[in-house]
Amino acid sequence: MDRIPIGEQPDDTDNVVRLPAPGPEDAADGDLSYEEAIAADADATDDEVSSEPSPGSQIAELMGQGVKVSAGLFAAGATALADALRATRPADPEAEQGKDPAATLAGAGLGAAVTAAEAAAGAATQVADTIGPALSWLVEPRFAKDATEVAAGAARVLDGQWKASQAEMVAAATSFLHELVPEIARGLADQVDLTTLVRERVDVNAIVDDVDLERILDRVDVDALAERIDVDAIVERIDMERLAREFPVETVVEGLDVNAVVDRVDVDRIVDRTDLLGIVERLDVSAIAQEVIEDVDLPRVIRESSGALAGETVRSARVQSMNADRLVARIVDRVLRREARDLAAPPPKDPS
Amino acid sequence: MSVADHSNREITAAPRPAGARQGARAGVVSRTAAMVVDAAVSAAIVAAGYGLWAGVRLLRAPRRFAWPELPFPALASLALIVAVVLLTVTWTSTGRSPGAHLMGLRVLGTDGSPPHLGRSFLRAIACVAVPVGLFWSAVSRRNASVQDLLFSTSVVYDWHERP
Repeated sequence: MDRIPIGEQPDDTDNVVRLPAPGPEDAADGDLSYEEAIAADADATDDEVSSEPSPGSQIAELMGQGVKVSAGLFAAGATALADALRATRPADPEAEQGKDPAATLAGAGLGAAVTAAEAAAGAATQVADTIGPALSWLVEPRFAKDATEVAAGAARVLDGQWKASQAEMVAAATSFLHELVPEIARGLADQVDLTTLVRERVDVNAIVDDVDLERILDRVDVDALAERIDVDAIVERIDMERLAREFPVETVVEGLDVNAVVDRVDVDRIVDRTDLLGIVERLDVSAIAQEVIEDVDLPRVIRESSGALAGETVRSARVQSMNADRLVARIVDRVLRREARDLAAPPPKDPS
Repeated sequence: MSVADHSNREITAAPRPAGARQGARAGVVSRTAAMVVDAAVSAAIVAAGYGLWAGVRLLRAPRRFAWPELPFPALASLALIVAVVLLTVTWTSTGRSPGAHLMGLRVLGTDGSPPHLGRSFLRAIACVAVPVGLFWSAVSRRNASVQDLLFSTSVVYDWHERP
């Protein structure tokens, strides 16, 4: 609904209830019905407002807008009240046909409010001219004579007027609330600690229990979400060096139960899945063996082992056998009564 | 060249009394000990061969395995053949059979170097066939055994690793 500028009169103001202005034609309206009188007067009032704006018209328009807003707010409240009343009442066929007394009464009240608003706006410009006729209208004998009938008719008329103005009123109220509600909300937010309020008053667990996570998850298109994520950009922004520097490796390692992890490792399965023959085939065993042989000084090892062989025990045995040789030789020589033996070995081969 | 000169090239590892006798002809006790060791080594080689043979048979037919049966003369003959081969090879190469190596002895030819193959082979046969010929070295004035006299060889103390 479009916002109605302040100071402009809506086009469809024919049905708006106006307080009948006093004038010469007022006497001629004696036989007019209430609605006709009001309609005729409305036309006259409309022409006056649009044709010659008075100096106090701006004030009047502001007041009128304010009243419209109030009426709109009241309308919303009244409608809600009517709905509540209707809800508490047993089902009524008459209400279903659109003749709901509650709605009618609410509309009547609103119509009266609107009329009062219009009257108040008019009064701002023509206070002196309005008070007297209004009072005279109120004390009109006809009004008192058939009060019940007039009241019923007035209620219907007021309800009709309200319905005609309802859109305008609600639009005004809406635009007003549009401006006002955020301000109120901000003011409330400044004054109220919402977090504390929620903590004290809201049973979050109950709300969470009511949440159908499965349904939410069903509605989430994870693939689309993943497609929208630019992983490369995220990775580029990660400072891996800083991350690695600050990563609490010690803490993680201390928290690890390595034995438990090892217990869970199926070594047999790993070995089964390992292509040991393939690994061996890829190894150049001969080259490795050659390298090992080159690194190991085999002759030196053999010499050292030989030296170990000629250890203390062997040396002792050699010396003892040497002494035994001498002893035997001496005994034999003594028995044979001869000189010492000639034990000179053949000379080594002369290289020349 | 005198004995002392000959001993100058000996290793210093030998203790002084023994070092003085390096290069001199060895006596009967040392040579007998070396002969016993050589015999033991030959027997060990035969035993190892027998065990290897049995192992191969076990691997080839585990259920029908039985220890190989060889008459003692055959085993003894085998041991003698092994001994001849062992002595021939070691004497002609370094002059030191396993027993000689252990006792610090070396077999030399007339020129002071290890005997050649033919002489080593004949001497080995002689030693295996008539081992008691060794004991003549106790009587010989030059500590020569019967085999030394036959093939003009001598056995000297030589703790040095190389000839």
